[in-house]
Amino acid sequence: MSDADTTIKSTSVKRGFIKFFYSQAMLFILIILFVIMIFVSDNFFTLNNIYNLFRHVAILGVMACGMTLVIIGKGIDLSAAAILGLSAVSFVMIQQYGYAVSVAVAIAVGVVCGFINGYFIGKVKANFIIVTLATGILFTATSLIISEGRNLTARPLLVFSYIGSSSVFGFPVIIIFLIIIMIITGILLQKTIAGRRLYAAGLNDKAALVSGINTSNIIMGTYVLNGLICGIAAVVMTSRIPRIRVGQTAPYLFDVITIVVLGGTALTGGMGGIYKTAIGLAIFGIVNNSMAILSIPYEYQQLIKGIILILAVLYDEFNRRKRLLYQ
Amino acid sequence: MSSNEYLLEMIDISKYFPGVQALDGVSFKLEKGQVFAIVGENGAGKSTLIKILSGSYTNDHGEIKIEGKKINIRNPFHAMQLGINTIYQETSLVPEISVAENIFLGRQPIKGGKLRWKQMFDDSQKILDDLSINLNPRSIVIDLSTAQQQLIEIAKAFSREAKIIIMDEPTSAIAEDDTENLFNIIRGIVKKGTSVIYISHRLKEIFRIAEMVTILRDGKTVTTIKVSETSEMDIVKYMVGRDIGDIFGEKTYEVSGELILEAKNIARRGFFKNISFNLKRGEILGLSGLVGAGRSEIVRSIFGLDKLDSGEILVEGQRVNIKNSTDGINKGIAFVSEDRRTESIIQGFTVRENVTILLLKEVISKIGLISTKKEARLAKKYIDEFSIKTPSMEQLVMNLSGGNQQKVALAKCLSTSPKILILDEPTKGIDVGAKKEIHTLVKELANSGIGVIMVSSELPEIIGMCHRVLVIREGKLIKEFRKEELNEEDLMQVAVGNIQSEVKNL
Amino acid sequence: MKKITNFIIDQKLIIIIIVLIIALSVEDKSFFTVKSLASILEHATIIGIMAAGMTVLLISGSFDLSVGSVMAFTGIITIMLQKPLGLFLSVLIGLIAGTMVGVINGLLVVKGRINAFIATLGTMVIFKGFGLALTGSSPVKGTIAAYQFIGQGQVFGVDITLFYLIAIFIIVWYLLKYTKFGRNDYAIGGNILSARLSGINVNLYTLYYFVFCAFTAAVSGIILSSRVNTGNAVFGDTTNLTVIAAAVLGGTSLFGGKGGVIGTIQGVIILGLIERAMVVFNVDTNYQLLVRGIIILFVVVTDAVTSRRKKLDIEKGVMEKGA
Repeated sequence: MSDADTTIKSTSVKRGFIKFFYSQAMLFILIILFVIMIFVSDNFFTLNNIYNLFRHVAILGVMACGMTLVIIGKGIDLSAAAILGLSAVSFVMIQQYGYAVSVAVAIAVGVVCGFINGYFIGKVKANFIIVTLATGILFTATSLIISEGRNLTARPLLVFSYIGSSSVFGFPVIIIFLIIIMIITGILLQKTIAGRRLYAAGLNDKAALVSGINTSNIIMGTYVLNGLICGIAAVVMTSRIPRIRVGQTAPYLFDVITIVVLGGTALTGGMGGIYKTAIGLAIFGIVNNSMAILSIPYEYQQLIKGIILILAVLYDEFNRRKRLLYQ
Repeated sequence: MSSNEYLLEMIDISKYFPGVQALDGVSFKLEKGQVFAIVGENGAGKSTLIKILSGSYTNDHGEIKIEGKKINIRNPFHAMQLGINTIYQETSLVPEISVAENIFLGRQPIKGGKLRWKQMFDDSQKILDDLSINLNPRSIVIDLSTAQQQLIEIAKAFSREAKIIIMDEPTSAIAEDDTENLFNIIRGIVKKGTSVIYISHRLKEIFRIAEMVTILRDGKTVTTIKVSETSEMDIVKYMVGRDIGDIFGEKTYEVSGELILEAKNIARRGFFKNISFNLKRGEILGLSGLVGAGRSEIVRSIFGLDKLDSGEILVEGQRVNIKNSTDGINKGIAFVSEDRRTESIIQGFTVRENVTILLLKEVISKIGLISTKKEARLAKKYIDEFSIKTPSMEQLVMNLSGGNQQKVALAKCLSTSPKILILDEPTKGIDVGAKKEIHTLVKELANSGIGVIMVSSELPEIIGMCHRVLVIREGKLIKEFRKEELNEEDLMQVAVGNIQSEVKNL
Repeated sequence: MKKITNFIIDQKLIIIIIVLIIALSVEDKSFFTVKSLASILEHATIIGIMAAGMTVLLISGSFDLSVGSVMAFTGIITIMLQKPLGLFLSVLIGLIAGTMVGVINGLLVVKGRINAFIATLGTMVIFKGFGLALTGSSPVKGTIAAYQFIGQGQVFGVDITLFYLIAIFIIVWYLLKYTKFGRNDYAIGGNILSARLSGINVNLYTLYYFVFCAFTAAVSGIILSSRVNTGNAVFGDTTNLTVIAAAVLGGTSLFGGKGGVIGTIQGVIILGLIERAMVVFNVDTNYQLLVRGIIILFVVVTDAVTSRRKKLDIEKGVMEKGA
């Protein structure tokens, strides 16, 4: 082998490593954060704390799965928190008519909301940002109207409160629930025909069209699925903490978006996935948990989260260019 | 004439892109106050030349001199400052503001912190009057026709004291009356000392308006002569005259008589009308003509990407109603688009993902999930079958060469075992080696019974590959050529309109 | 006949306003006076001033979700600085602080190449959080009595805020019609490629528009906090969408390139009248929110459907060079 060959070989190995590094950047950050926290606080690396960490962000994680679907399709759903709220309110108010009915209604509400979004964005092709902002207001308003602004208390459904609050051999069931939802959405994205088509539509809708993919149906589907997931999450959430007041779910939206973006699923669509969102969730969870352990006041927490989002997006933009450079 | 008396000199200009020498030693000289035409078939190098002049590309080799001074055109803005204004077919006007403001964009008369509207309107009225352009400077651009918008661009360029105005296919989107109007205005500008470089396929127009013409072919200058000293027929001869040689090898095999596709009087308003033809199993049918004649629109409508306004399509004798691309695929039609980058392959996908996208139903396991093993096997099969050169199937298609990308597009389309394959400019921008491979592939496919429709602007390709050729001009089917009748010159003569023979029915 | 129909369509906003006023006067006899009509405008001042700034930004093809937070943040800073720095300085610094957010937004979009949505979403949360942190999550009360004059004062028997509204609208109208600042706005939003080619510094002007939008939000913040003599981080949570809706209703397209303050003021008036109408007709507060949401949705969908051009991608302004 000549000198030229060996140089080429070693450069390509180096290239491969750099490429890997940039593509798995968030994973590295997660590991670094994890290690830092271990040193910062004794309380951190205990089983109890880790469980707590995930318990608190479990519902957010479930919603993030739905949001990931929408974002891969080059959109976003700013009404997700409102859907969660409306489903939860419906769930509680229908409970007097029977448990099974109330669960079905809650989920149906989510699906209908998702359908409204999907119709205007997928078929009419209006601006997804403003549409979901507007439907967010609509859904919140509907929640207010139905609940007459009162605080509501749910009667916890046995099965769902089991999911929400108990543990199996000490391992919180809600985390299992989260993992199951993640696995299902993950499989949907990576292993089904519809999932593959979604990536195509998000990457390049013109080419997808030429390949015979019905892009408006696919996009509509993502919003409907997101609505469905929010509906399910609403039931579990309300079973876990049976009090619901309209408006309490509002901050979730920003957190969910942060989680997805942190993980590396870009808002430009066509790439990313549940694996990435899971990492984003873990990072978010650690940050959340750390801020609680370090007793950082709520207001500063919001500030920090906002800065993290901006940094994450900036970093992702920087990353994308670097990755392309090393292809 | 000494160097100083030429407005523009292009000396030995060359430009190389990976796989193709776009320009090879092109030279010409432009005088002040002259209308200078540049002709050549598609791929001859015209658009590369314009892009270099307008600052979008840099030439690898050669010199550009303006009024005797050597210059390097750094970017489009610099080109404008040098006095070179380019008017493309896509308008570069701001739609929702007035004509006057568009003319003065970026240099509106602002005195004492206040924009003088009256002055702007008056000044632009003067400019328009000067050029005999009949437009109200207060009109909003988006309300005007394409022809009128073009005139605004000329007025804009002229008012910036353009020395050279380059016009790229200016008449392709406007009607006949407007064309005469346009020419009058061009004559007016030229009298005032501005020169116009006029690129067009419409030879008749060149004889109406241009003084000099240069013909490009395969990136080289064939000749530069006075328009008065030549004829349309001669120009076509210059455009195509080349030694074809036998690059295409064996091309004779019998085609069965079975009709696989029939188009009956299909039309799409504004694009094409009265198109009727049929396609036999195993036949390669060529669609020839100038860019913009409507060929792509015809095939896209057949596939379902655009809607037909009238007419019928029959596949294997059965009338079909194709409303979208999914229908097209279901009816057995495969389509490889002209725009490879944005339409025929999915850029962010890997080779594997692109190849299997239409065939996912074949690779799912019993429970309906995609099986990685089956998918990989399928992808490998197609990669081998089409000799797609890629380090691995996980490579992103955007990193492949143009030729290999096209093979991926082909593999993808053919994965559904279509009955009809439509190719739109299949070897555009691809190196010679890959071109040959694709041609061989297409011939094999036809041989196996698939009907192929090939839209191409490369005459040697059309002649070498097709059993029959239809020439389309301005949305109408003009003439059909049988294989024996095929030669470059005739094809081009019909395409530009020198030979008139509208086909009534086939 | 066609001429009449076209005229009606062109003047549709004025017609809606007239219809609303008539409807309100019928229901509430005391409505049809100059005083009550003026009061509509007075209440709409906050939204109106922000809508003027948002109009400028929308025309250029961007938008800003952080205006509500900027409004709250400015009010908080101003009130908190009253004791140590006095009236004049606190107002000045408050305005600067709010306008700074616009600088940040602009830089993120122009230099960081982040799309306007995420960038302003981020700053919205950051400055809301900032506001919460500074106030400790509870409203802060103003300490200088004179401050309240800014928002509550009366001049010639009319609320002073009316004058602010009129002044801002006149200023923005002038800017949009007679200055480079305004004309470049239409160029950039209309055809960014053309604007670049004509020598317009697209990046710089886009930055200006973000700054201006934040500035109007800051002004609104001063007025609001002065009116209630309080700085509170929850102000502005819902104003965002109303502001954008007013502008789009008034004819400024989300796609950029067209619009103006004359339309926006009509949009503001219509929204104000609808608010008043809902009160007069005794509509439940929750239904009011619903109506607002429906109006916004309707306005936006109509804009999407009727817009004659789609937004040009900002990347389209990139020229190929030495391909």
